[in-house]
Amino acid sequence: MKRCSVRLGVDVGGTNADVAVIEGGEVIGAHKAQLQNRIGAGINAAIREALAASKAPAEKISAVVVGTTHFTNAAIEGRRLQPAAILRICLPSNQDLEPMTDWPPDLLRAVGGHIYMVRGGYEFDGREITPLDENGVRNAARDMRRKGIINIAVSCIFSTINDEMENRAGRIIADEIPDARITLSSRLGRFGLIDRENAALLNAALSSLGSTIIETVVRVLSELDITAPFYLSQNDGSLMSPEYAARYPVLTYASGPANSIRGAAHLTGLADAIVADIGGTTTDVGELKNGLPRNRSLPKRLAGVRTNFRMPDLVQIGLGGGSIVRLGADMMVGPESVGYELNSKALVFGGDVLTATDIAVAAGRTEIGDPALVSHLPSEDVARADKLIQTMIADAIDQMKTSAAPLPVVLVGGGRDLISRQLPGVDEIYIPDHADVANAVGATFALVSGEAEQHVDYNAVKRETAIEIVKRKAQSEALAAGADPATLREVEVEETPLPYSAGGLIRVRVKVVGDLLIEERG
Amino acid sequence: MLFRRSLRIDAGDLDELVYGTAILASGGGGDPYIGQLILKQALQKYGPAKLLDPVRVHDKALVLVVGAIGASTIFLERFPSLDALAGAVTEMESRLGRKADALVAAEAGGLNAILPIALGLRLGRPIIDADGMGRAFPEGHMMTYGIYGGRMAPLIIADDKLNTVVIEADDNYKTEQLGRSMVERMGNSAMAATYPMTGKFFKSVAIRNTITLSRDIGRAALTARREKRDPNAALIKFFSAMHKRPRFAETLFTGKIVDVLSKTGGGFVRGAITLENEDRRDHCIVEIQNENIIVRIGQRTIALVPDIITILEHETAEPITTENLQYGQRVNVFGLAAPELLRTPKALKIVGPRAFGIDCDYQPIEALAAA
Repeated sequence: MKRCSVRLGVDVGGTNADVAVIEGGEVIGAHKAQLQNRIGAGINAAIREALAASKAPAEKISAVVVGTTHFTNAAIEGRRLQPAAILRICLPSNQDLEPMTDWPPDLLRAVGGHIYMVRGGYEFDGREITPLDENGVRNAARDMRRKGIINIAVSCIFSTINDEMENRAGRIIADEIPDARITLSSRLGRFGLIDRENAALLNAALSSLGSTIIETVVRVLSELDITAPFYLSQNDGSLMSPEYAARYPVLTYASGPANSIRGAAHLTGLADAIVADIGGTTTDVGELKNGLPRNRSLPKRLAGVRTNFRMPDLVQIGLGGGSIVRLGADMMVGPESVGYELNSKALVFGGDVLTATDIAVAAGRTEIGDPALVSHLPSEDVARADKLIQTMIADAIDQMKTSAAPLPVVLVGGGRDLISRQLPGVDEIYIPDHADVANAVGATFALVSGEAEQHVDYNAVKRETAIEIVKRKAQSEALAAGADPATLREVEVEETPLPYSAGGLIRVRVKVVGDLLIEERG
Repeated sequence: MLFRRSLRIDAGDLDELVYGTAILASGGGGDPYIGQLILKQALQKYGPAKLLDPVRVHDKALVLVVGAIGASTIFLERFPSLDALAGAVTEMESRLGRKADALVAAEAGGLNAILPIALGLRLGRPIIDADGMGRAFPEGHMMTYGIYGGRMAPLIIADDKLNTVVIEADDNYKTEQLGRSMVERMGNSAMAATYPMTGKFFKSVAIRNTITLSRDIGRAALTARREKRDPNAALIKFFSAMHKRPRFAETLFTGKIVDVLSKTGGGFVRGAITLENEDRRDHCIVEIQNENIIVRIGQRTIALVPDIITILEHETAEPITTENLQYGQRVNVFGLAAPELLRTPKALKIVGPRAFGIDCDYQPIEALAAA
């Protein structure tokens, strides 16, 4: 019998590499491996084990999807940013608020205050405020070249409505600085110039990681004789090509939670649910809405810098399998954790640290390690700590819910056994098979997306017409990113009225998604 | 103890000042972030600002009102321009044939409370510690300067390309309407100077000391937050302990937002949020027209415009502007008595419930609470 297409999903987090092998929608092999500072070797081992379990030959694999928060997250946490310049297209507007005004001093020092502002920019409706000063861009680029700066971010007023000036400026800079790594703000962020510009600058300062990520993946795949095309999953759970990821590595830094939510959707068949991914140190709770993670719309600080990346709305709490538990009057669970050392430090594994996993074993929720090693714990203490854990999760779930209507809850991740099957305020709890590698499964089923926005006056243009126009723009974005046209569907239509505007001005944003267009093999 | 109000604003006061303006904005005035950064940059460049106490404004002084005019979210892309604002002032001065002695804010809430301070630093002109609303309102004729007889004309509007328009109309409402349509043509982001008035008139109608009030509000709440005390309680205590005249302040409702409804109508954003408390027994509805204008719990009305209604994040007491309200947020509905100058029959005609299309008479928040 002819085999269906086989796909490989890989999720590389801070401590683990998770791999899932999928054939015709079924998980036919999975593996979780610790990285232990050897990233490439860790990924290699995880893929090998998972493939061995699945018995699928490497040449049957039609696509590989990699979600990796590892590289960029570590660089951001460690403040390892490289010098970068910002070219903002805005004059004569926006002189009174320069780029990086709100940056923490240590990050500003690392990146350097290389600021250039030139004439140009758009009105809210996409018309020019002033034409782009191309000579100004060229002069700025030459100055950057003299200073030896190759990481360059470009921003422009209302570039989310019209990105033409950013594109043109990017071409001029590339012409002047052939080895420049150029980040266009319109590719990253949303409405709100400062937040979008910050996102672009962070990407520029991390852009050397782009090639590191791609080279690592290419090397591992060639070691394993996997010749299938590969893709990377981004923060909002959609896919991007390696070429795109090489330019925009910051889009990978938080791809894990989105992948978990998508994985939960696939493993349960649910389209709407709350998903809690319980790891070793933290739990991420997000909402699955219409088959996709619900995105956050408010800005978020990243390393102290306000940004507006497209990413899921999450509640993160310091609770996981390795969370350290303190009993007694001032009882506490987390946020400190033994992390990846759970298997040696937890009581049930013969260690000397009381963890949330020990509580779960003592409370009879799960059987791992040696239950005799926690039998001495006073049962009322265990009951209280267990109750606290359930309350922490129930609160986080309730915070994520956007309506009083009942929603099922899906528990995934290595720490899922901490949680009771009867949580207050929750009607139905799902714990699917392969829940521990939900993120890798989710990576495999990541979708290709396209997004567009425009300001429309509903008094002048009919609502349906306006939405249709914006939708078409979003569709062409998705097709350019590799979506299968037959599968395109609209998943979000956001209409935001503009306060204090005359007339009926609305910002219309449309997001469409589709499956990845892949040639079947075998 | 003698209480002396410091009129100095420096970089260290910024967070507190911005917090206070967001409390007074009654949910409006836009995201204060851009204004905060513009003032931050101005303070870095020019050093601390020294405000002018309204009692020290000379009777014969020429006072001008300055501020941004446009759609608050547009300012997040195309920022308010101090050049344009300075241009509007210069145009006004050349028409009046006289330099302005002092500048003052239109509103105490949001961006327009902060921007004049940056302009004052830029121009080296005194900025008076006062405003014309004591909160935020959507339209220019709603300032006490106009309510009590001042003329909004000429209204000078300038954009960042220094396109300048002068409006002279027979009444303040007409001036506001004509101005608004000009601003639309300028990309919904423009700057304005208006209400030229004498120091004597100004002092009789202005809402005084609102900039330093904002800073002190912020100091009370943010200090409590830092010291791990309840910032909500600190806010309420601050208003009840105000040294001259305590103002009624209360947490009107605590709950979770379970519905957000918004639509535009009549040129301004109208909407409503529904909140539900823990035991789901009570529903609270807050109606919005750019700002929060009415609070109802069940059938009972418990706060009405012009009293100030601000939604605060439950734990941190961080104010949430209307455009940032979302499903699922846990919030407190904070109510604060409006300044007395907004509660007179004359003022209520222009800024009372009926001016916002609410079919009921104004009742003070403290009376509604006691009922």
